Amino acid sequence: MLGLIRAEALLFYAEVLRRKSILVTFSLFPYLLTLLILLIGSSAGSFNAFESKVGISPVPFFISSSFVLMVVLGVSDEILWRPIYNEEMGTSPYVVSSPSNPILRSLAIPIPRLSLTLVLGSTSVLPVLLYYFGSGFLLESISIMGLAALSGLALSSLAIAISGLATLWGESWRIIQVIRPLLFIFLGVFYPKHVMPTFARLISSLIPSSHTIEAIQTVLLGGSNILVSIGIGVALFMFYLPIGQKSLSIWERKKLRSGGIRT
Amino acid sequence: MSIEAINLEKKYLTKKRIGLISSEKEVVEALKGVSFEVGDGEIVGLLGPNGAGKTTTVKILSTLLIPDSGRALVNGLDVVKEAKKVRKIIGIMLTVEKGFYGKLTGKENLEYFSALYGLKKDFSRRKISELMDLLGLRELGAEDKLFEEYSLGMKARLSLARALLKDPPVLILDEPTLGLDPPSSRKIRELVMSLAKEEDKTVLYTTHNMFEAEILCDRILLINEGEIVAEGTPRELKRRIPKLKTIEIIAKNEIRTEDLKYEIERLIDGRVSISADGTIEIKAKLKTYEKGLSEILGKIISLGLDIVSVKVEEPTLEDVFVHFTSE
Repeated sequence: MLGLIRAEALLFYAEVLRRKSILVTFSLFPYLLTLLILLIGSSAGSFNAFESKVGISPVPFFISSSFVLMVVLGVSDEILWRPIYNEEMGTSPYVVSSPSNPILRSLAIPIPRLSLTLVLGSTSVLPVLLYYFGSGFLLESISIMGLAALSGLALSSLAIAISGLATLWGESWRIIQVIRPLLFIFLGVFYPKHVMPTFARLISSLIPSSHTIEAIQTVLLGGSNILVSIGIGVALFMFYLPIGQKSLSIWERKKLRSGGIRT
Repeated sequence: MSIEAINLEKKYLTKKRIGLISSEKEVVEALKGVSFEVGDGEIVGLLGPNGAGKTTTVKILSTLLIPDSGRALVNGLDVVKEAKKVRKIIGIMLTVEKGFYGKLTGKENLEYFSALYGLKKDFSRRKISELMDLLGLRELGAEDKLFEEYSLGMKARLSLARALLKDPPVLILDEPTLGLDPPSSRKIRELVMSLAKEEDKTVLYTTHNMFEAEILCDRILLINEGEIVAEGTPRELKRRIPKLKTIEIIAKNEIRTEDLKYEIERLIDGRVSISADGTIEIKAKLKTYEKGLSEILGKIISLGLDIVSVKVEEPTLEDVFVHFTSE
């Protein structure tokens, strides 16, 4: 597994550091998204109204939420996009015919990205939270960054399960376009779970990251009872793992039968 | 036996578009019972026209395609049931142009794949350095160059380097010199030859280049429309086609006479021309190499002529290819 993570780190950091625009986008993403939400929000209400309703100023709330969203979407994009990327690069046959375990290979994909997002948290979450809550909030800020990374990791097994099944239908990039807005809504990152209608809350509860995001919101609001949420998130991650494995093996079997692995 | 294909069959389901919305399913029979063997340390060429079934065969042996029926074994391991074990002992080269990550250097790409192959860090570092030298990539300054900046020749060398990373006993190379310039093609051929002869590696090699197949391969399999239509060494295959060999004899005679021309033409089934300096050029067809040649030469000597040179023109492998694939 360490070897696979090392390989993925090589690929990810080469892509990011040799394409500077990606690095700039990553750094700016939380700020731009926060700005957009605040502009839309201020046209309908005020900062005070938000604070009295949610219990926290909208700026630290949305900067943290945007950061978490970037991390989680990054993980789902990396996993869902990789089979298509490999096909484009022509590396697909060499990856599939490697003796490595497909589930471990897929789990290793987002880990290097998480290490970078943690670094990027120090340019968004950390300064904003420290500015609003003072240096006494340092530990909480760091734990929010850690929980964001955990939210990304927690989603990986579900993303693998979807990735395997999605690529079976062909034109899987279209499915990615559907998954992204669905995650936007049901993660509960901007739209907390407790204010969702029942059906949405039910769907949201099935997504492992929604629970770790709940934990982040608890920390932001000054609470400390986060272990149950983290536990449920991790349990759901474990629950989707064998489904992800099965989905990958169905995908591989179908591709190998139909001759779908292009050389 | 290193590679064994037993009655391999494969059909593909393809869609034929009818207008904008509708489509019709079509079945394409890619392999219709392909069987062959490749011995240890042997270089076997798989030749055939486009769509003959070469790539399908290669993909099955590379564990990238499951046959509908039949079996394929690599070093005694079943490519379907024991795919994971087979993947550890084969090196594959399927395309020259693609197959690597553009933003990684050649060396980084090899590091990436060696991690995917589960190779130990120290071993892979040593192996990559060794391969960079062996394939001349370091000499070309390609080691630390991004793959997207590589020439086709460099890409082919890197692709062969990846196939050799695991030091596999069996190599499956699908048109490894396609589109390469002569020096790069020669480099690849020389390497493949030395890998088989010096390191006893088994090589299955597909190509459209007849010259390459002839000089490189111990044996050739000709595949057409999903079936092996001929098999043998290049020499054996050439003997199997009805095209006659041509013999060209240059002889000298002191006395230049038109009668001599008719006399030779009467003795042999050929064409004779006599030049002003007394050089006699004889072109004749041979039925069989050994017997026909001595018979013709004997007749010419019996006329008192001095033989200066003898050239036998054999049918080419291209003649063999055309003969068997256009039947």
